[in-house]
Amino acid sequence: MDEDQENMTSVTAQLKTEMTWRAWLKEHGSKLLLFARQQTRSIADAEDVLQDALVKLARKVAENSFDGGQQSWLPYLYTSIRRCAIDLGRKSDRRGKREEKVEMERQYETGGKFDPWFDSDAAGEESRGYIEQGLKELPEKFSEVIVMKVWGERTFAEIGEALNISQNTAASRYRYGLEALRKQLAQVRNEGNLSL
Amino acid sequence: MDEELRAIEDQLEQLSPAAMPDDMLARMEQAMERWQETVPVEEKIVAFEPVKLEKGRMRFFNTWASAAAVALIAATSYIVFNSGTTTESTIVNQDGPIVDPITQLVPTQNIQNVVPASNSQFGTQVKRASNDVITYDAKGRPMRLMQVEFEDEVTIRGRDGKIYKVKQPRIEYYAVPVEIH
Repeated sequence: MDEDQENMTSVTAQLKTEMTWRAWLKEHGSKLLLFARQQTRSIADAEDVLQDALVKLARKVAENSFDGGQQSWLPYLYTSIRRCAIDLGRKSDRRGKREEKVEMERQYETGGKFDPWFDSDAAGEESRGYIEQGLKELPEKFSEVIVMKVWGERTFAEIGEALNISQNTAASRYRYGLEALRKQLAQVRNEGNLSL
Repeated sequence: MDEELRAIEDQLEQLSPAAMPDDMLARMEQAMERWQETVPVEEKIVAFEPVKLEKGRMRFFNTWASAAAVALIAATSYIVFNSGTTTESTIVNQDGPIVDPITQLVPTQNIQNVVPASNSQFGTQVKRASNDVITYDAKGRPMRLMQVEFEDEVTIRGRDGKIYKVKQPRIEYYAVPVEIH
């Protein structure tokens, strides 16, 4: 194969990879972004950790050092997003409480409308808001399992591996998390604020 | 899982994660295409060959220890110069060589003849400094290792009234945390 053919092959391969990334991001980006939001304190931080994780994946794929095929990208990314979020959280602790307070106040005042985690569905904007708020108020160890299971469509084994817990612990946290969420929404319903 | 939890689960599944905005999608795609331009934090610090330090050699700067060392040099030199035997040390004048290491001159007698050194009788010069070594502490934090060579100089007066200058080389190591961005 002469030099021109080699260059053409390389360009073609690169174009295929770019098209793959865009198509793949369109299909899976929203659920990854949701998990990144759950793991971080703001949309900006969520974008940062998601980008870090995606770049690491792109590098591994380009260098041919990624173990497993395309079906392993999602499990890898969930683990990577979590680790990046933990690292970012450690650095953020040094930024001071003020930035966190401002972000939390903004989220509270807008009811999460400013950066909604979900698109409004048939249940309506109000229900979306309460469910989203309920998720945010859950202990993180419950909400992260729920997010990975329901919208990430991960198995309990994959969740356990990503969170460094056992499969049984992942399943238990999922049940406890749903129960806690159920109680929250029941309380809201009893107060007449939710048409569930 | 009971029916109530299944109902909550079904409710949650009706929600769809908010779609990634187009501009964010473009940024992510671009970042993935240009992964070579993003260097991980752990690769921003280039490790040099770890320096094997002798046990106990690496320490932080201690003013009092340095002053005590110089005072000891002066005291020992005074005793040596006035004991009548000078084979174990070298007297330094303006042109003379450097005295032997202090460990060979620890006094065991005639302590009462020691003349305490004053500030004007000893000085320290930095002969050389280097900071091109990076090592890691026990917690894995990168530390820049600075090696500073000092030359301690003690001016003493012998019984014959002559002024002698004793020079003692000394190397200090300083570990400075490397700032990581």
